Amino acid sequence: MTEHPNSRTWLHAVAEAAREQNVSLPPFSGQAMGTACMSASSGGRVVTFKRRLVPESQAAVDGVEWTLWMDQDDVPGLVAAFRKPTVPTPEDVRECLVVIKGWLIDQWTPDEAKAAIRSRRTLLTERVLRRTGS
Amino acid sequence: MLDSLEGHVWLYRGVPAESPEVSQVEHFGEIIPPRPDRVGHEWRWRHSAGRTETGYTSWTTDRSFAEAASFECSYGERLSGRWRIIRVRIASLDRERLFEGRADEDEWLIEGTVESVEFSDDPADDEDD
Repeated sequence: MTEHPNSRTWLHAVAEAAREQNVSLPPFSGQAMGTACMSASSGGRVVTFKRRLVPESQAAVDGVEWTLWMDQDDVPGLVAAFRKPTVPTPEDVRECLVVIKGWLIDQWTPDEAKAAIRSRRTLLTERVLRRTGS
Repeated sequence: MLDSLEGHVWLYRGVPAESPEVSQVEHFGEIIPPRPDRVGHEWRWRHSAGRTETGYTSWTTDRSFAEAASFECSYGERLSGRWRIIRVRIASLDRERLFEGRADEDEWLIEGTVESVEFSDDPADDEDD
């Protein structure tokens, strides 16, 4: 069994920032193999986190991926995604929390969410996210 | 596609120590995906994009990637910050249930229940194979 201080992780940083700002985020769930999920209590809105399975050198640039989803009839639909370095800076965490809160709590439209991401980060296209090896 | 597994013996997966998967491996030596009904190309790409409630589980050939991924998801309510690395021998897998994940990641998806799974507590054990 392995243990490390998790205070440097994205999930911890986002949860701490939310607490400091009195933002009531849903808890993370389904954690395994670098992924985690937050679901709004209604409306089918979901945010996922993924630590990409890439070498440290690349992870330092774009090692984590946040994705916004809208579920309909039990089928997840991709809305928007963006990547960040694995080590979260306070500014990155603040930006990220704005987007998560906007999507899960403030009920942004998909266009509002995409615009908010585009203003600071590269919005990933669905084509990139669908590029599988098989 | 499976040529890229050439030279590798194990696939690895990391989970929080409190994950139900840990007791599944302890007692039955197997991993059961959360939604066995969700299979096919569309579910595979959703899985690789983060929606892992599917008929697949994610694995990697690089143990250090599994460690790094586990570290990142080891924070949460009712989680201690500890994790376990599990492994399965590639030769034991039915190749028709094994799929390459993202083109720009070292991710492999296994469809359905994965049997003959064991813990990999010491990286040195793997060097013996």
